[in-house]
Amino acid sequence: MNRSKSHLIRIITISLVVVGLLVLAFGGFMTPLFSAGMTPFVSAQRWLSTRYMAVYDFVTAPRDVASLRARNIELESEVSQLQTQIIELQQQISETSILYALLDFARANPEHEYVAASVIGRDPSPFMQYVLIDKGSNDGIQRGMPVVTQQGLVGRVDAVTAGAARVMLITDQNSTVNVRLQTTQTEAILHGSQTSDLTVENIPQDVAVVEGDLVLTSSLGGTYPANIFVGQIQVIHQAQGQLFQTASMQPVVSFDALQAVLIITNFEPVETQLLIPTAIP
Amino acid sequence: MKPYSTSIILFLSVLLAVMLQIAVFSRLMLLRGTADIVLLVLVAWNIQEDGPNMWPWTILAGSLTAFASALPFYAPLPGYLLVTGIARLTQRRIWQSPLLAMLLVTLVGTLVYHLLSISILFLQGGSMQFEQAWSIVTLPSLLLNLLLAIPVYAIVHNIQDQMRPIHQQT
Repeated sequence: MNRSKSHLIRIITISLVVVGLLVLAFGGFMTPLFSAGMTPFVSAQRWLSTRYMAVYDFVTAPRDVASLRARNIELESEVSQLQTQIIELQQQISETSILYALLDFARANPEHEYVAASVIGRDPSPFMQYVLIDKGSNDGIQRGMPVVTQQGLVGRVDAVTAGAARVMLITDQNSTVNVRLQTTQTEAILHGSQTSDLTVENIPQDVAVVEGDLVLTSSLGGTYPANIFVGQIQVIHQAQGQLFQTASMQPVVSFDALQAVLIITNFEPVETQLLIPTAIP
Repeated sequence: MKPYSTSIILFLSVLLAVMLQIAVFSRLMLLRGTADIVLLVLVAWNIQEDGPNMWPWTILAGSLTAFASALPFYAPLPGYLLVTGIARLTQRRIWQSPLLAMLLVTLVGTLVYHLLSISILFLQGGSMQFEQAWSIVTLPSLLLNLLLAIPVYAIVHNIQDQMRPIHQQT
């Protein structure tokens, strides 16, 4: 009887201790004790794991280097492909932005019909300021049609084949454009030169030309449509005793970096040669 | 190498030179001057020892250039024919030093070709000013041509070596 009673008391005591310990543990009171007890085990585990991984790496290293090298080559190849793609996309973005700009220009000037063309080369002779474009008579291009960009006047079509055309730039020494100074509404003539410098000539002496004046095409001569932006007056040359004053003009188009142009297809230039009287035989 | 293979290589080299001239070298300007890769290729082929007969290829190069250029057609063709003539004469006289011949013919050929172009444009009534054309176009073009003369000669010489039968290669 006494034995079974003491056995019961022992069970109850152990249960109370266990319940007490659990309550203390759930209450967070045992954390310092656990920490103090676990730290040596964790340190030992870390040390063991580190040594094991060192040995593992040492044993398996050759295989990994080979696979890493293969992977590296694979990734390098992928990187070069992606770089190529990036360059292509950047080029496409550049072309697209140019085409968007041309489209904006065409929308802003709906009175004309346009054909867009890429510049595929320049005249092989350094004496001639011409560019070659990739649209020709198959696309409705004809000799004499004006050529513009979103910035302003480029020139006019000089020769046409089925799939390409040659455009005379306004900077060419044989180019002549009838222009109008915007502020004074004065008519003048723009000449190109061997050095690609542009000169506005035949400005009357009594006209007050100011640096920065905008120069637009006039419809005189019938070679170009009116009101296409050409450039800005840069330097005025006024000499006493001369009938006219002249001025250097800064073109609005960058002719060295021409990539795409618009050809105005619904403008028919007037053939002025027919109006020049010739000697009757 | 068989004759027709030589003809194909010469045709391709002339065609490539004209295309490169229009698409690339005409855009690379020093002042207003540009290198003339067609002239250099013609000169380089002409001064090769045992080189091919370049007269027909000169006519082809001149015709292609005249077709693409706004210069009157009677400027590039006679210009290149003159350059080929000068190159043939020089090759016979200083064949022991082809590099010197290349530089000399490039110098004389460029001057002759430009002088001819300037003269024709002047006679046509353009607003050509000789001094301006000389200083802004001809001299920079001459410099570029002389710079490119040696690389072009090396490339053409290499192609010429490949074209020779094996027992003749040096």
